Amino acid sequence: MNKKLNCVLFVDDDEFTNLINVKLVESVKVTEHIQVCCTGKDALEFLTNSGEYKKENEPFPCPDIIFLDINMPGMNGWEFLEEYNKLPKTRRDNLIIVMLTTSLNPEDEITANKLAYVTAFRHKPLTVPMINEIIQTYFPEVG
Amino acid sequence: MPENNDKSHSQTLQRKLDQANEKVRILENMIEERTRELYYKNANIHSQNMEMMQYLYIASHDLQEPLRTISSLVDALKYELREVTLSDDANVYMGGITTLTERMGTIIKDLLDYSRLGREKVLQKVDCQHIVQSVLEDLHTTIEAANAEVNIGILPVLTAYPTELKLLFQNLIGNAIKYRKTDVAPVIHIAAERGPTCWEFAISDNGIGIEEKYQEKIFMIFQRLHTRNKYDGNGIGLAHCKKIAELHEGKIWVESTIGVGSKFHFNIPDKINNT
Repeated sequence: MNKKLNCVLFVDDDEFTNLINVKLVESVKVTEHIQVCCTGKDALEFLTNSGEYKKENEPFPCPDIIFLDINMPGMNGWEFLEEYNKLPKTRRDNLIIVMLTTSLNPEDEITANKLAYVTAFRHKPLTVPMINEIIQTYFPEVG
Repeated sequence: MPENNDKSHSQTLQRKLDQANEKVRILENMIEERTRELYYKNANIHSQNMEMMQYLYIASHDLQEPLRTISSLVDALKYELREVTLSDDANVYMGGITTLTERMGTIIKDLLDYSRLGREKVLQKVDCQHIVQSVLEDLHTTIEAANAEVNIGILPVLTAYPTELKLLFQNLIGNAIKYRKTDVAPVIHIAAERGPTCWEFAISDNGIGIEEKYQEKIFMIFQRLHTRNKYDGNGIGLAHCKKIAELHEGKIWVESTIGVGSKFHFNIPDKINNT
């Protein structure tokens, strides 16, 4: 068995999108864990072991890939990135952020490309070939 | 000599007066021209707005047709599979298709309603007391279920669009109940205050409140602050409210503190140009 990713995090408010995305990632068997957060706030709490994810004396979870939706209620994808960028740099190392969106607005892709910490921009729906391509590009040692 | 002096003095005055009159005339012309310009620009904006709403109406109408067919196809598929035992996942997917088809149906309906809002508006004398009473009757079950206390101040009789104004109250009172705290019964106050050229209304609650950074965003169409499993809805109510306030040439805004409550304000000017 080849090396696997530790964790893939999905941040998306749509339950059915999450359901399908989890199924897809499970099917390619590239990661030990898959985490789903329905809001940006939820995801920040997950990443910092706070709120609902409060854990004492445990290492902060370090997902390898964050798939991030843009249009979410309350804190949207951009606002999440703003807050995320305030986390200590060591906790943001070695992970990639893929903006995954239905948005057909080219402005969104331009904005995403300007942000150093956004690695890739993809349109929904997520597909198996898309997952494989992302893994091959950013984690060639996996798979 | 003094006579001559007087004459030349009055001639000078007359010349100055003529010059002043000429300036006034030029200014008047400029004002007239600017007014005409503004009038045409305004009319232009109005007609563009109407056109936009027309597009929205047509687009949402046309979207409904394929959606209905999807619904029928899902029903047909379910019928074909009636004797087949589906896996749990397959059942979840089928349920998902139905849920999302219905959701899209309500989004399209919301868009249609939004585009048609104010289309057949009729300016009338309305008694806000009556309007609010009838809203409370409509919301009767919701109010009882939430154990909500609703206090109504003295509300005025004014000139407005009755159907739209009722919808405005309905949305704001409905929201005040919907976004209540889980452990505190909602207490809602509805009040009106006389402003210099308008009536200003306020609907306040002791609900969950709205973060400051979202206090403008909430009035935009399809903007929601919560996930659907927490508070259902498409994010259309306050967009409707904003459109209704603007139909009345008034404004709507909110003051709110997280964990304390929200106070929605809107005003209805005394003079509304019935366009």
